[in-house]
Amino acid sequence: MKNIVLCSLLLLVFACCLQGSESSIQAAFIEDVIGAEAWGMGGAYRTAVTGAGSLVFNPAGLADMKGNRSFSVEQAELMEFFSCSFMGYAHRLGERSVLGTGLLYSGDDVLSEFTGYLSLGLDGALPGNLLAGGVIPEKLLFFGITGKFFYASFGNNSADSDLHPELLANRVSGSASGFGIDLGLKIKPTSKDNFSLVFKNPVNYIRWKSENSAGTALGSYSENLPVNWTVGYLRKEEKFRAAIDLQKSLFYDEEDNLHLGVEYFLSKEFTLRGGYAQELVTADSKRLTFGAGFMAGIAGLTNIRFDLAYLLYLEWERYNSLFLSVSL
Amino acid sequence: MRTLKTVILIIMIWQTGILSPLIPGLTTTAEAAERQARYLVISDLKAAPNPFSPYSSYSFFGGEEGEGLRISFKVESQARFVWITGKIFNVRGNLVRTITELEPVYSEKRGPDGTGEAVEIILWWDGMSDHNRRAKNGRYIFHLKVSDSEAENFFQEKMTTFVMVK
Repeated sequence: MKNIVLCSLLLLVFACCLQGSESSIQAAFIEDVIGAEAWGMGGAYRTAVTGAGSLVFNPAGLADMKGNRSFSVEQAELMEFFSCSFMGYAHRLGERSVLGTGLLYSGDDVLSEFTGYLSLGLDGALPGNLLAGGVIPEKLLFFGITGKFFYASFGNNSADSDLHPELLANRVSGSASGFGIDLGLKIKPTSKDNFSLVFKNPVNYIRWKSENSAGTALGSYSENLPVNWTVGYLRKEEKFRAAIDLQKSLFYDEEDNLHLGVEYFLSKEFTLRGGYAQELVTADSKRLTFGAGFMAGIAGLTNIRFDLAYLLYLEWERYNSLFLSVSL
Repeated sequence: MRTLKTVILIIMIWQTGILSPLIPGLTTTAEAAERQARYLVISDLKAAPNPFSPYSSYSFFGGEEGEGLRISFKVESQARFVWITGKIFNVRGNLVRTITELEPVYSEKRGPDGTGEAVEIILWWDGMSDHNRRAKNGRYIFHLKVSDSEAENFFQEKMTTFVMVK
């Protein structure tokens, strides 16, 4: 355990050194803009997630998956402007290990982004046996690591016919590619109280290649994604689950984000969700979310679940987001 | 019958206006009628070039100069002045830069038929954050809010997205 903490700290210091004089507010390859179940609960989902959705939110949730496989398709319509799609699959390799893979697409002709995922989730008893001589019991600690592959293409849109020639000459086009990793931890000290810790992009590298006819594009250069970490807590009761996530920024120009969510089980089949999110200190970026889920059995073989969520941006009166998902 | 009673109760609560401050966009019938009586229109909101480089600078014929992204839009209003607020966000909704906040702009007084020409307003974003750091490559949202100076809490808003790549 001491080795894991030490390695995590070293990764964070390394990541901080890479930020330089640039803003740390992420604008490319943003992943957590999908997830009907996640956004039904206001984005407080790092601890609750299990199965294929873990690829995006917390790879440690893979190992906590019920059953031997999980398949999920997600769609999000964001503020009427563009959409995101995600497809993920998780497969149990053994009693204590789960492998997952998935693809996230978002954007339009101006910017199309693809993120490929390959994740491994382990019950803590497996690495615990290797590191601490088998002192960690089963179903207490879960670890996860995700390798991500990024690709983006931009400037494939057609310009307005009445665009000034000077503006047209400065329009940028090109591509970007790179990789990154996420690390996740989930702790279940009791059956009712769960905790999680997720590091997004502690190691990542993206190379951008841009050009325009005016010569103001930088050409070939690297620009990394900012690192952030999230701590989460989930309380489970018979009829409901309540969750809280605190997304901490490591840099002074990015605000911490607070996510709160509740899930109420109306019956075995129906679930209602509600959530709230905002920037912690400034209280800006307030978002209110509502969601519902419906589960049905297919010929007694497996369950299919439909989820939807609606997100209201409280400061933007007419622009909201819709999330849909189907899971097996 | 129970469901019908619940729906009627929700409509009655909604019409009292109690929910309006809690849920944006939810307006009572009376509030909607009051808003329709005022005249405020935003049109032709454009962000160009898209994608843009923050290192681009322009000096157009006619004296207009700027750096980075050119944001243009037209406003027609019944009021003599409108207040303009323009902010840049990432797609998560985190604020990156406040371009202008409650800036008074003269807009010629018009009749409810909207005859006459709208006022064109141009803003520029140089790709810097509010903390004076260079923003990262990626997709951003420009949110525009134009408020009527003569009617409290009456405004129109529009958004557009664009991409910045260095």
